[in-house]
Amino acid sequence: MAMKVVCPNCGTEMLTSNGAFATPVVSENDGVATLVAKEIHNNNITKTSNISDRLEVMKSVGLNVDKLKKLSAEDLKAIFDDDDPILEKISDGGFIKNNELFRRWITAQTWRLITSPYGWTKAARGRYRTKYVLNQSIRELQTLCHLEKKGLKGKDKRFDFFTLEDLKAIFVDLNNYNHWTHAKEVSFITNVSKTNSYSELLDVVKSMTWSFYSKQSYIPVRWLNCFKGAGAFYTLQNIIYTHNMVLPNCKDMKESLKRVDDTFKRIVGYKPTERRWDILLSLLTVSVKVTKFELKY
Amino acid sequence: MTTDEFIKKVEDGEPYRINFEKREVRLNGFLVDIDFELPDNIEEKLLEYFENYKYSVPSAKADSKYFFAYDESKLSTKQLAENESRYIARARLELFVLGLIVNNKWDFGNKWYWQSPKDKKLTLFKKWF
Repeated sequence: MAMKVVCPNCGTEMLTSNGAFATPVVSENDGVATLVAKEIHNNNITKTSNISDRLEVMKSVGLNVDKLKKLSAEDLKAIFDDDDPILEKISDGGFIKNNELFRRWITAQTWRLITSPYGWTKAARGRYRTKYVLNQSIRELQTLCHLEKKGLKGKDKRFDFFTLEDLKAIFVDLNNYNHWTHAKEVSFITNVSKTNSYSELLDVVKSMTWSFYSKQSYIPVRWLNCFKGAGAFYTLQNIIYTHNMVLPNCKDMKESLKRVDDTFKRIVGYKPTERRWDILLSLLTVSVKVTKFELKY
Repeated sequence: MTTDEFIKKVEDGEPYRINFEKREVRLNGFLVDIDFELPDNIEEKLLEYFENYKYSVPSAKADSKYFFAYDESKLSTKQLAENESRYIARARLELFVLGLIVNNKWDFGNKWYWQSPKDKKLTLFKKWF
């Protein structure tokens, strides 16, 4: 059913947001019918276009935009008080503290390992026990199962660090140090090698009985490599987004994020068994050393 | 055993248990005798240990049943990356308070508890002493 909608005040013709002319259809996104003026719709304003561009388009249509304008730094000062802490933060570089960062825990762990005097690998070997490694990799497997059910496999970067083959190798390696008396009798390795998805692997791992000595400190090399990659990637991302870090030989945030992404893609291009995540880690450690960067909060 | 030796063993990863009611310290499940040495500035030192514990990095089963500490979500990234482990910070604090209890070194007045004027989360109870 076609229907023409005209604004009673200014007389502009309206279009529905999905492009069909004057058909008030419920939009797919949030269940609310949104109407857009025809002329504005034709100018292809996207979410990324500037405020000044939008204002010009609205002016050309004939809308009243006297009360709207792009805020400058002086206007902001007029709004806030002089001693408002937000003003300081804006002049300091424009970042505001965020205590609920994405993957904050792994960022903190990696930071602790980098700054230790022994270097990353030695510090990790001294810090973690076998029990911790097992629990951590089971937790990682659980979240990957959750993401797999949502249909995010191939889109989320988390799948590239702990791949299915990596996790299989880690659990088989850990089973050699399993203290349970029947650990070697059960055909754990054949059961693991049959699995084709994360959820199947989780079932096999959970059916096994795990027990280690409390001071057992063996850590699989494969796990160290995967943990290195995930830690370095998310630390770089978090630092650049929210701590004003700029990588050496880069101009700004965008360029340094692009550089991180490029190295990530280069490493993912290798075979899944031969991914060298220490390249990404060295990018982090070197840039922290060169710029003498410190965490801000 | 002195307190420093005890904390060195805790840092190596040995399990411990400190009980105020029974006034006992256990390391690896065995009772341990400890020589307490109290400093001159007791109140400042107590506050220092408590602050250290309050902002320490949490882990499973590391929280004290006697004192308050912040959850992981309340700590900043810098605190998570640089502060001490809660398991060790708790040993420091509880051992210090146990030293006060054993030597009966606190004046409550008429009240049944003492609350620090600088940090209201820090309270000592008379029934411990």
